[in-house]
Amino acid sequence: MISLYPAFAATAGGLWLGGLVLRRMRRPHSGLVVFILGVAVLAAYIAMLWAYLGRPPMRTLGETRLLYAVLLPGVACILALRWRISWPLAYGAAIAGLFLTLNAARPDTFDKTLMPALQSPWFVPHVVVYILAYAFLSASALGALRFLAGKPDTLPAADRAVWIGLALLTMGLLFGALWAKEAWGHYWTWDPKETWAFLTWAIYLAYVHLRLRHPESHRLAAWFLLAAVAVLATCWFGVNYLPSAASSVHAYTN
Amino acid sequence: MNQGEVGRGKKPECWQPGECVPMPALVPPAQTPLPASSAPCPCGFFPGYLGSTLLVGGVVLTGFGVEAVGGGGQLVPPQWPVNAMFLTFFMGWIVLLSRMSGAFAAWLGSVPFALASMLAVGVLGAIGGTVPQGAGAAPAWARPLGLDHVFSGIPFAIALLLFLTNLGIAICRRIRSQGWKAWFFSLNHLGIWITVASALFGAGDMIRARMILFEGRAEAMIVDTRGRAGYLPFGLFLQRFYVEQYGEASGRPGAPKRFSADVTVLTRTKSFPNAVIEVNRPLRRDGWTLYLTNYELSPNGQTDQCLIEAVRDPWLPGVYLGIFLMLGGAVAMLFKCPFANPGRTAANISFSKPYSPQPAVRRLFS
Repeated sequence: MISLYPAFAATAGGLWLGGLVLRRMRRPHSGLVVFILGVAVLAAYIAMLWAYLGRPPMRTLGETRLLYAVLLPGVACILALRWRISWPLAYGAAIAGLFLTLNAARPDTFDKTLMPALQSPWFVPHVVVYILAYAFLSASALGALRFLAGKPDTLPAADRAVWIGLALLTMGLLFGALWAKEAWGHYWTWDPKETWAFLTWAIYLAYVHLRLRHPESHRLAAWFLLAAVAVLATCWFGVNYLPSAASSVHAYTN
Repeated sequence: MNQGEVGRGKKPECWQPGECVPMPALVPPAQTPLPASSAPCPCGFFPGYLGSTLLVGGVVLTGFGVEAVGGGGQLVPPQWPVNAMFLTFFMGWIVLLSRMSGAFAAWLGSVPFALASMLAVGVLGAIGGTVPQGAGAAPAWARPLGLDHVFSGIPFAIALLLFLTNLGIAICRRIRSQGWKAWFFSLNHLGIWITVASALFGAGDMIRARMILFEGRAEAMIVDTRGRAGYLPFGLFLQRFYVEQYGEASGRPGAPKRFSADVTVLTRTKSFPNAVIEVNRPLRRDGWTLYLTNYELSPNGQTDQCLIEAVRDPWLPGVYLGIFLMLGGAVAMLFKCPFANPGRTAANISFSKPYSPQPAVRRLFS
């Protein structure tokens, strides 16, 4: 199962590339179908991995990267289907490809154990909602980058992505709090990961207020989104490298 | 009327989260009105953002001064009924401020003040999320200013109180002006207010204590986080404690799979046998919740004893009420978006005089 990973990842990457090429050749619909097929192949791999491990494959950082590599192109597909915004497809595929390569270069041990604290009905909704939020919010950061590079059509899409991402982030944060109360006795303990999750939530909350209050300040908004995604990255990966990480119960390393 | 005018024509205070505020067109800077950030506050003395940041920053720094004078000691949160009196007084002060018509009250409840207080909470949070917290873990330089216990320190409490003041005024005003139409605003904002206020004012009444259970023995004594001993209103008799471990096939043999404690709850007159406490499955009784903590199995690795955390938090219903309001608000957010449909707006954006793109970023994309 684990040894099949390169084959599945390469197939997904190939389908994404094929879909993008088809869209370039003015075959947008068949291109999108092929692209979605790539997402489905990777989703199937995660489902098989789940069955093989007998636990949700969402425990380690590498496993969340794998989930993200499905959800980011998935979000790009939703944006393309729902709002006819197609630029995130290429960026989403590029970042997902990077994450898949990273996982191939640094393979997880993929053991089947799940510590008792993670054996909870909150585990899957908490992680899935979070990674989905990350996918929307990083799409907004890509939109901000494109805007700063001189393509102004991407900022409205970024705003929508932030709004949905913030709603999902709120759910993920609160699911986490409700779960923590059941597992650890308190809904909020200012564990470093919790603190950075709070800061991530707060900075996107601030963005929404700033944006609605000053709808004319586009450039400020774009830079703000880049700062916000840096806080998000700190929460997801960076926390493990901070001095405070030693005391964290959330350091999901192997 | 084009969409750009709708966005810019509004008074800054009047954006309605429930309404669709369309994305204004990207217009050349000459046509852009003065950004509200540089507009002076109605009182003429405090400009919106600068004044807010100065006031919030000043008060929080004063808090650090108090910490330094006090030698970085812990803030002892008030307990029942003093905390309830403070909360009542605080709510009264917010309602009073929200009814005042002056510029000062309007400024206290404004978006710039909200962002300034969130910035203060955020900066303190970033410090607390980076510097190891707790007397043992924190470096020595962090202690005099209380940076080893940011989240129970005076500056953080002040920042939260300023945040709650601002948020409370905004909620009162919105509900008074819009009535039931403010439901969407209220779910999110009132949810945050109730959660934070319950957690902040209720902190003094929460007890987190530990107890050690030995197989075949009864125990009611607990020791709280400050090392004070007390007793539960009932006793626990540990019938059996067991640890199930993963086997060879798991890839990590010996990793804990399940901790479980079978206990009998003893009251003065009765006993209730065969209650189970597991990780993620606490036992609730008489206002106490008993948890099997998994990361400290037992003091010396024995499996005939286990560590229980006993928690009492009478303000928890308030926190949960707030959390469920916020969850409702988050679900509603998926269906109500104040930002315009990007498909339509994109076509409306004027690109006649684009912003000067950042050269470094442009190179990335060329």
